[in-house]
Amino acid sequence: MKQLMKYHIKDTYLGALFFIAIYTIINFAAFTTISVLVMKVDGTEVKGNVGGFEMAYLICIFVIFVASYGENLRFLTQYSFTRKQVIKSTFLTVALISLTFSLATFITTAINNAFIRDEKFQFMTYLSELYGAQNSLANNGLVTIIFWFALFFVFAMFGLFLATLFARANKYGRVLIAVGTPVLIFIVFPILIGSIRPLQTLLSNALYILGGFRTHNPLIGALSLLVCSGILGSLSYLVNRRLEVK
Amino acid sequence: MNSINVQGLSKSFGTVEALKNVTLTIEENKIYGLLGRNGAGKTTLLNSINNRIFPTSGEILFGEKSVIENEDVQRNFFFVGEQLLFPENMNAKKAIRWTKEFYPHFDEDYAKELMSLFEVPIKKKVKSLSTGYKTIFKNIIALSVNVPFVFLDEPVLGLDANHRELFYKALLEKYSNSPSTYVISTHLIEEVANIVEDVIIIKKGEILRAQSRDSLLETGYSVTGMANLVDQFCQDKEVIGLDALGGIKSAYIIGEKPRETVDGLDISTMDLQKLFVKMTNA
Repeated sequence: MKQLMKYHIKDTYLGALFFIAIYTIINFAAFTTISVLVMKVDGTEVKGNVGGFEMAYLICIFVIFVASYGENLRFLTQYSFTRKQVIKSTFLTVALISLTFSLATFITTAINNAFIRDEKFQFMTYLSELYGAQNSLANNGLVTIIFWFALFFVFAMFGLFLATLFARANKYGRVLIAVGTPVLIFIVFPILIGSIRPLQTLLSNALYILGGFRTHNPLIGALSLLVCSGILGSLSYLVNRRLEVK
Repeated sequence: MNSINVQGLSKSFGTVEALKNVTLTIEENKIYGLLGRNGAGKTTLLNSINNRIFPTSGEILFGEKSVIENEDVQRNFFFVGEQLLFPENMNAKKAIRWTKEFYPHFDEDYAKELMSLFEVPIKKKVKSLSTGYKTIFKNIIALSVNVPFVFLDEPVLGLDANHRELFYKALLEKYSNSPSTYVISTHLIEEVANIVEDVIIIKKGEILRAQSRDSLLETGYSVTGMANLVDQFCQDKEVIGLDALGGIKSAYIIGEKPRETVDGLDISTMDLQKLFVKMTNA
């Protein structure tokens, strides 16, 4: 496992760190500077908020694991590692990168909040938008790290799940997955939710409770995300078990 | 001493039976030639032993342990297939570094020596190497890992004659200095005939023969002469092939070669390639 983690760290983790470095520079250069400049324009009534840079981390972590898993599996199989070893080490790498991204988000948020101190112009994250900017839990450092960790983790696990399905599928299956996933998420699912009232109500209530919005508690949301991650991870493990590498 | 025991191995891909009830033993410290026609099941057999694909039925044991998803067992094997499994952006230098990391007994100096001998461009990405150099690169890694069992699927694919000769020489030198088991799957039977000690012939998913090369060569012989004399000689014999040109006929027979000469007939031992061709055509 030590050898595998060394490989994952050099192959995937360093890439993630590089992304954090570049994105942090962009974040400070673009968001903070522009925000500060806009706030300082004389005579301009500026009101609003800036933030949402976490989306980039979400997309990045999803893409990392969609793109890298198949290649890593083939390479590591060449060196006689078993599928079990490969997927377990990938899970650990998911956790490591999720934690790193969540710490990066926390640090960047803290620094941005230190720079942007204006009641008319706020720096907001998705966490504060979802649970309320005045929510004490949403502003608690440890809680925010846990929540981001869970969110990044579930996105990574979803990417990994798609990657294992893709690796297992035949050529028709791959087309189905590549086309079907965005169609399902962005077309079928919204149409179903919008047109079937009972489903809409069920989903809204479920999100309200499981997301921790009823109690304004991000930790409940984090727990739900981790449970989803567990389900996705288990499915990935099962699919991976019978993957043939040839 | 651990050997690989394949017992009743079958593998199907949909309706195609690639392997049918294969039973054989691969022992330590030998060079095996795994011979078969296209689609016979050679690669399927190698993939099964090396945990790349799963058997439909049967088992493959190393000692008493199953090879399937067994990291302790798989550490004793190294398989170089036709497919290059290295990441697109990895160059040969990095691949060597990772091989050293994953296989503690990997001889990096020897690998670099071979890279230099074969003139492999080590800074170039593995995927952008020519077909021949990809094969050479894989072979060098295989010769340098120092594990008990090395499997080579078409190890001379795309190699020119010079490189093929270099490869066989390197293989024999390596084998004599530090013996391991090498299983070579190849179509170039003539070239490996003098290298292999044991031969496994596979035909349509079934093992036709699995024995030492010398004993295999003793199982058959050829008879050449006038057609009528050859026909007379071949009565009550197991003929696996016939070639005729004008009035001259050659018959390929399975059986013990007669000790006495026969008037008008030239009786000779079949070479491995001829024996293979006739057996697999029969």
